[in-house]
Amino acid sequence: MSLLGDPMPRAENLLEAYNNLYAEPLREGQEFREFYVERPSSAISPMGELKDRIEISNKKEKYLFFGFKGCGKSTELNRLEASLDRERFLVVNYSVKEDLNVSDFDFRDFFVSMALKIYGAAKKGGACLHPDIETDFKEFLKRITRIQEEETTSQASAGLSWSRIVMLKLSREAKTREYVRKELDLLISDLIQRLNWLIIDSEEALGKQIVVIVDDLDKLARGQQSEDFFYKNYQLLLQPNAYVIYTFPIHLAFNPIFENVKSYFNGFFILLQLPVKDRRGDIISENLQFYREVIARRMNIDLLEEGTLQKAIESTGKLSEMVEVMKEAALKAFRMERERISPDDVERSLEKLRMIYDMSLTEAHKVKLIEIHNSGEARDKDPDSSLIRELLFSLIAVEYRHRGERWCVVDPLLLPLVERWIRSQ
Amino acid sequence: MDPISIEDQDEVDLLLMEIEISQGRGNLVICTVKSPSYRERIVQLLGERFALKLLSVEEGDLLIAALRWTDIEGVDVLIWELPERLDTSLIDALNNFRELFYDRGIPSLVFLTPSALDVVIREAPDFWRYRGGFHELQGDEGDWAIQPVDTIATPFSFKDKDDLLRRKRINSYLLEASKDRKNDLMALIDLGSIHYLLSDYARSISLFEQALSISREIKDRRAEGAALGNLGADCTALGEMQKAIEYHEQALAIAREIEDRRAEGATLGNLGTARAALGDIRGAVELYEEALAIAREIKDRRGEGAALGNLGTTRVALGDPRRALEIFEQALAIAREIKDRRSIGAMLANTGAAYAALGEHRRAVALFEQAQAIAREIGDRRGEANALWNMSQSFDALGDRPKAIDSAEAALAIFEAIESPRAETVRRALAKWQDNEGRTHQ
Repeated sequence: MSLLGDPMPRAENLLEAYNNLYAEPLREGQEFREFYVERPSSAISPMGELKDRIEISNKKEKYLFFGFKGCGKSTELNRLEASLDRERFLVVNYSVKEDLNVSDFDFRDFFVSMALKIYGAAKKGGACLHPDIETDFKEFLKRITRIQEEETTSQASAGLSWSRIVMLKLSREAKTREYVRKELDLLISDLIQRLNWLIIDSEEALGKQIVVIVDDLDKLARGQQSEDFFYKNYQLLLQPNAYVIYTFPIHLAFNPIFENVKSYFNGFFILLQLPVKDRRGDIISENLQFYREVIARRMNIDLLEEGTLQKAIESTGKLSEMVEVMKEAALKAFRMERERISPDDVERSLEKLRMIYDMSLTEAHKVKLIEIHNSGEARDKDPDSSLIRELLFSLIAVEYRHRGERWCVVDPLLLPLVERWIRSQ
Repeated sequence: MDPISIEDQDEVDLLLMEIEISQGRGNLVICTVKSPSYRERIVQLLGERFALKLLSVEEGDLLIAALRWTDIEGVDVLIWELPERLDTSLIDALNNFRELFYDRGIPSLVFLTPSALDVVIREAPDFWRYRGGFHELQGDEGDWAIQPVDTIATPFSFKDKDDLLRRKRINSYLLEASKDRKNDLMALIDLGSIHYLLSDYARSISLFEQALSISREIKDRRAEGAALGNLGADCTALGEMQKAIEYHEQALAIAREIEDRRAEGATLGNLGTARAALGDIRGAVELYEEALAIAREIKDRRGEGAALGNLGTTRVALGDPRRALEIFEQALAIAREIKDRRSIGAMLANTGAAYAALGEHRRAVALFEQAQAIAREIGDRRGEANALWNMSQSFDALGDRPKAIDSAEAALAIFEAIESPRAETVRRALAKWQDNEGRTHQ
């Protein structure tokens, strides 16, 4: 079941449409059957290749997976999980956002969470671990988190598993994170060794290979944290003895260090953001059709007045933003007691977003956005400048690729604003 | 009685002469000795020529009273035996009542430990400057088991011997369960390290040799370097220094090739230890300093502690225990910070050896006891035997030969079990002591 309740069949009224238009990733079989749209052949999902790599490689490979926020990465990772043979693989698919504090994130917390996730999944999968390995792991975590016996006993009686209790303590208590980081400053290799013992023993006990999917690493809130995580600690990321797919913050790919770091991983996969128009401004019909199909799977297209969907697609040019704008427009139309969404409802939703951006962007950001708009490029001349990184991180600037061409644009939603800024220069 | 050390013959003759020419008038002669038992030998020698009165004082008031009121009828020399560490009252009394030594009209010979002399020079300067002659005796050359810290290439933290034994079970199981050469390799290196830490060097060597062969087969240069370096550490423990140097040199070349600075620093340190064991102390110092610089550069606290501790051992070997103590203190602080019990034990033992070299045997024994307890808890048999052997020498220096023999026998049993080259030294010492004891009883 999805977090949002059972997915409905295609909406036949605005209330149902409002409920079907959510940008959260698809998770379960029924959601996929109802709502998933295959990507066009020019921007096919890399999950098929990734699945093949995992199935045939006899080395425990590590992959980087990246794409702009909201372009469907989590949905694709969930599809990958569903497509892997459950008799051969134990997939540990989790989001760091759900289990760790992303505004106070550190590689040491990350490896603790990975070990706990693998331990939890192995136990849930019925693995009977070697008693020494299990005792040693628990004692080690008890030592570094300073968790008391009473805490685990009392919370276990409330139905929480041991790994969940430790995970919650780590994500909620700054003091625990402080202890863990101090201890692991010197013991990180000991933790990774224990993580690998768990992996080997779980694989032996279950007769399956472990595949770890770490989602939402691209959502680390502080730029420096994600840089430290991927660029200072990449050697550690290669050490778990399992297949691991790390979601990678796309804005870091604009850093020159990326070229060096990526060579250490066994592969990097990109999920492209689908542009509605090519670099010359011509409509790309297969992509337009993809966006149409996403909406059409969720609601009866007769609920839209003519030109409504085209406007929403062209004005957003991004999957999650398009869905959000349509959701807001559905609500507006429903409030006005109309039966169909009009282009005006979409425009009002867009304008509301534009006003927010206009207020929040600094003058320096606006100047940079005008530069991007004029040049089609997003590169900081000064490597220490964080302007481009911030704009890409917040999706205010977007990079597109299509048929061998690469270019950068200002979020299509903001184009009217950019023109206004240019006029006032 | 054990003889006077050959090195001290001239100095003892000089001392006897000074006492001779001071007869019938006040004089203050200071003599440093590193152990009470050696002091007794000197006193016995003096007793063959002069009428002595021995005064053993531990507090300032008692010293002043003894200086004023001791009956010196028929006495040629007053012999003052002071404790290995001087308390404030004693220092103040020495400094403020120094003239009383001259007022008695016969020479006074004051025995101090080298450690007490340091305090006298700093805190009782008037007493020090008021002296007549000063004689520094070397005493017997001890065989202090100074413990350099050999760094295994794949260090891990562990609490105690039980923890190590659990790791051993885990790795044995993983080795059996593994279907992957890389996993076999990791388990073998871990198992080899565990046996090294448990002082089972023969088994450790066999495991590292298997690891070395797999690492070459699957072309894992990092693991190859680790196996070679760890084989070197095993050879050092067994006293096979040339072999150890060969292994370490190969490990060093790999560490540099793969640009593994941590391994490079650790290997330089281990190479230094092998060189020091061959008597090349200056060469060892250079290697340890290089290791220290790397450890600091890459912020490797474990490596920094090991390099400092090892530099301290060279200061002891170069006859500078005072500087060694300062360095051991820093190394001990790091070992405690990183909770490395093996290094804590080694540094406590080394600190004890430095204090023993300064004549503070009671303090040394307390440190050896702590080191022995830690070594026993963590299953470090070599560390335990070293602590026992050092303790035995300190007991002997304190004049307690039965206890010295007991400790040496306990140390010997372990050294023999782990095939340590130190077993022969201990065996010889025991034979000499037992022989002397036998003669004394006759």
